[in-house]
Amino acid sequence: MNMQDKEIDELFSGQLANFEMQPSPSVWNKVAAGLDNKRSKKHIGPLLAIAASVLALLTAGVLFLNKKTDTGKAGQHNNIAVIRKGTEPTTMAQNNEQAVKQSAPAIQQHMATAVSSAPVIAKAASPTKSGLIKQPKSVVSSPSATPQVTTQPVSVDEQEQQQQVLAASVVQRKTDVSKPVVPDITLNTAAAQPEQTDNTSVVSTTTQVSNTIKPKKRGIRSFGDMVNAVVAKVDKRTNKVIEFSNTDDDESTITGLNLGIVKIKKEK
Amino acid sequence: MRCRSGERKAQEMLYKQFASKMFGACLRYAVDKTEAEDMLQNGFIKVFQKINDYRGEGSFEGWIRRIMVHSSIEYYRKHHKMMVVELEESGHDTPVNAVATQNLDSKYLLQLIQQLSPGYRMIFNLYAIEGYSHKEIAEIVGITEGASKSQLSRARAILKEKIIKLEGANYEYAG
Repeated sequence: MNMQDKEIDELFSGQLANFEMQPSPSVWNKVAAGLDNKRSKKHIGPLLAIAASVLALLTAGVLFLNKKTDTGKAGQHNNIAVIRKGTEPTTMAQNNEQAVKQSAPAIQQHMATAVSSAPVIAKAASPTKSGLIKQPKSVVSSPSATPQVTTQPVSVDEQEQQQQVLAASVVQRKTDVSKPVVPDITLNTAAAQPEQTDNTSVVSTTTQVSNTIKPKKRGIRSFGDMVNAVVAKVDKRTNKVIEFSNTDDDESTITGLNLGIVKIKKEK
Repeated sequence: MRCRSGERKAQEMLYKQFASKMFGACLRYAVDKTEAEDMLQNGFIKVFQKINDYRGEGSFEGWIRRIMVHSSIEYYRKHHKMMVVELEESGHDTPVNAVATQNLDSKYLLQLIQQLSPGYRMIFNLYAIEGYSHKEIAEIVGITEGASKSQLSRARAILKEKIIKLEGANYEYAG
């Protein structure tokens, strides 16, 4: 008799479908222990979830605050940079002013010397003139009263002319000295204005300053990325300060020069 | 139901009521008693965890048995790779004395099943004893219907061969 598939199935199912065997008593203890573990886990579960959520919120908040502080610090750094940039020109201006002042007394000294020299020249000239005049005196042998009187105004005129020439040279020196000072003063005023004005203007001025200063650095490294980053930076900065930090991130990644960059690197 | 309140005493009572039956079922999916006890333990823990999900539809024993079967399959997945052991093809239509099969007691048949490779054992259990269709087995085990059918036929062939050997032994014993 051939045993068909169905017969085999029925043989096993008939014998084993209701097959029973007593397990070892230790199984129940394991089940109870497992239930206790699961219960404790269940009790711990919500606490863990709460703790995890709190941790997530804290980390997110800290990161957010750090970002904010970073942006703030970045802004501060920018401001500091601006201030430094401003202070540098101011110091430069001060130096220039000091130089001007120093040069001014020098000029004054020159003036004084010039003035002093003028009489010297006048004195020197006067004898010559007096000599010349004396020569006519001797030559002319005319009465000395009139030529002396005439020589004195001549010497005065010569002194005045020499003084004018010296003064002109001094004025030229002054102008020569003052011309290079002028742009510094304008920079000082330009840098001093953003400090007094709003933050937006500061940002704009910083961007302007940075844009004016940075392109060389960016251009050195890579062109296309740099240009795109610059464009993105400019647009974002003009829009919002937070985006400015993002742009800082890009800049930092690209340039790696700014202080904000370091932070960005850390984040990335 | 007191079990739903999670009282340990009620749980123990329910366990004792169904433990031997469920252990008998787990034994069919396991290699030995140790493995079957692990399956039984995991299955009962699941039963007590999910006991609030039981809506009174169908028999409570059937609900527990389904959990046990799934627990056994899960155990199989964890501890045995889903490998299909290619065994030698044995004769499908080897004649077997029907009278001799009546002498086969359930413990011996259980041993025959436990000697099967895990994949064959699981699919033969699910189809021949639990009564699942190949489509259901494919969904539960995560294989194709064709694989379920082929493994079932091979499991049957192996079981048949072993029964035939036993028949020969019985004949020799009788003769």
